[in-house]
Amino acid sequence: MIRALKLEWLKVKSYKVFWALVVMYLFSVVLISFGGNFLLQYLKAEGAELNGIDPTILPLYDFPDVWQNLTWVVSFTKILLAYIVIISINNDLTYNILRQNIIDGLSKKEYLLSKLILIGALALLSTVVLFIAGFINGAVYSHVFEVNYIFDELEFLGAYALDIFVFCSLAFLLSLLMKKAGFVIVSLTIYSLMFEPVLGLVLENAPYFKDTFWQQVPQFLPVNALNDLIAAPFPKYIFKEVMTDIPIKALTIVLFWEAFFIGSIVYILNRRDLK
Amino acid sequence: MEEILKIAKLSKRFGKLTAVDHLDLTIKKGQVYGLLGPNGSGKTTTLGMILNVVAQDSGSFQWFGKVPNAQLRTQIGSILETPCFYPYLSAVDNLKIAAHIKNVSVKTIEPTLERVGLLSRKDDKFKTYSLGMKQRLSIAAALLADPPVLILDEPTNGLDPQGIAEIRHLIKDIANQEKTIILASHLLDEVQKICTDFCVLRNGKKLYDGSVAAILKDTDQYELSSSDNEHLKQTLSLNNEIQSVDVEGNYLLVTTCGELKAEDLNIFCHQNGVVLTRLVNRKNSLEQEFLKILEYND
Repeated sequence: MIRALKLEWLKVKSYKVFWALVVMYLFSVVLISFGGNFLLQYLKAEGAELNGIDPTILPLYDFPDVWQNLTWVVSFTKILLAYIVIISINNDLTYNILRQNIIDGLSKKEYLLSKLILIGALALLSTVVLFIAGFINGAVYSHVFEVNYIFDELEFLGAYALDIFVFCSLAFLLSLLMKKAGFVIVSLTIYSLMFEPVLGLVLENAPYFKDTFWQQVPQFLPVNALNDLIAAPFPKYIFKEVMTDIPIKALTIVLFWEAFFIGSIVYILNRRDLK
Repeated sequence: MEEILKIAKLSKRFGKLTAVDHLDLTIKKGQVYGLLGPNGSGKTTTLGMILNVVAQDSGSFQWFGKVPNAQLRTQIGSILETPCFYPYLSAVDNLKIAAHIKNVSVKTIEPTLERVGLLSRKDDKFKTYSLGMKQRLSIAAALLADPPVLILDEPTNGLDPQGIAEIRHLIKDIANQEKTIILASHLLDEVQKICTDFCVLRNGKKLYDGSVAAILKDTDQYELSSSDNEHLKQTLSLNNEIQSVDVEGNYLLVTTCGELKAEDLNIFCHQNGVVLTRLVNRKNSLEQEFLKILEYND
């Protein structure tokens, strides 16, 4: 474990592109986290009204709602972390580093572990930064500031970390399959931001599919299942019911996909000739 | 002698092509073993299999008499064709990764870089290196753990004459330290100069194996010259133990019946008043023997 961690550290330590991408990513997380009230003020200035309510009084950063609000919004940036993972795997393939590492005496299991540690570290870093951003915003804007409220619903941070981990595992698998970094980046972006969400919306809402087998399909697809981990929180501000737990069904589907991704990665690593 | 590597019935197919076909090979401690063969004869695939980067279809191999695993690979230094390093990292940073995998101290990095003559460029990025320097860095990576076995695949590929000479010197240096070296090459001259033993592969099959010294026997041919080759030729024609005398450029190629050795030739010429300026016993070259082996197996 420590050996795999140190290996990955040696690989990224002096790699400027990696750190530039990480800093840009964290900057975007912080920017989005702190941007809520500015957005509301902008909406007010534009004359927007939500059921006759002044938008700036919406308690976006109230504990514990802040956790669901922030994790739901910021989880859309996870694709930037996936890009970092894709570049890391792709470097190992295009420069024949994986092959050289194996020849030098690394086992394929250790290689897998080192990359999962990278993914885990990125997920952890992002979660910690988000926690700090949420805590600061809550401390400034929340109408309640009591320990039992602050630390309620922290499971959303766990779901957020899991979301990143599984999505980056998918990026890892695709990088091994397709080899060309640019191709993987474009494919993953189109698939996860356009193809699967649009397909999901069509199958779930089109009258043609109503009450058919197809209507049930989207929830089992990987990106939809990941997005289902954290329910969209904002309808509650127009007095609609919102799920404030992590749905066990989505969690189960996500864990199944993670097992599938890791299993496929192990299969490819064991079977493919490195030339 | 202790067996370093034992390959038994190793086979690999790529689609319809059989790259390695039931190969048996035993390499012993201290040998400098040449793996010869035309391009595409299965040399690199064989090395890939014994280093666990290419999965064999059937057959097996043992390193140091043990079933191969990652730990054993740390005791093998390998250079396979192209140097593989992160272009955006410095030589030192790249070697730190190799040292970490091989479980050796980072203190070994600088002396090893010194040995291959890269110490002054140690903090430069790999991408700024010339081909010869890249190849030398591969050698440094392979030598890092001071391994008892070294595998080299076409180590002089694409190098200039000076680079080739340097690498050969380095290999001989290493061979003198009682290390076992496995060298794949299609440059026969290279193998002849460096190797103690060799085998010939073609289409993944082993055609021949044996020692280099045994095949490079002396021949019955001698190259002679003096200040007056015409006179020398006439003199030599007096000796009835000489089968033929041919003019080849600025020397004479003399074929004897086998009993007459270089020493006898020298005495004979001297007694007849001719002073030789050149007297060379021709040896078989590996190239000739290699071509014979290929021809014989056609």
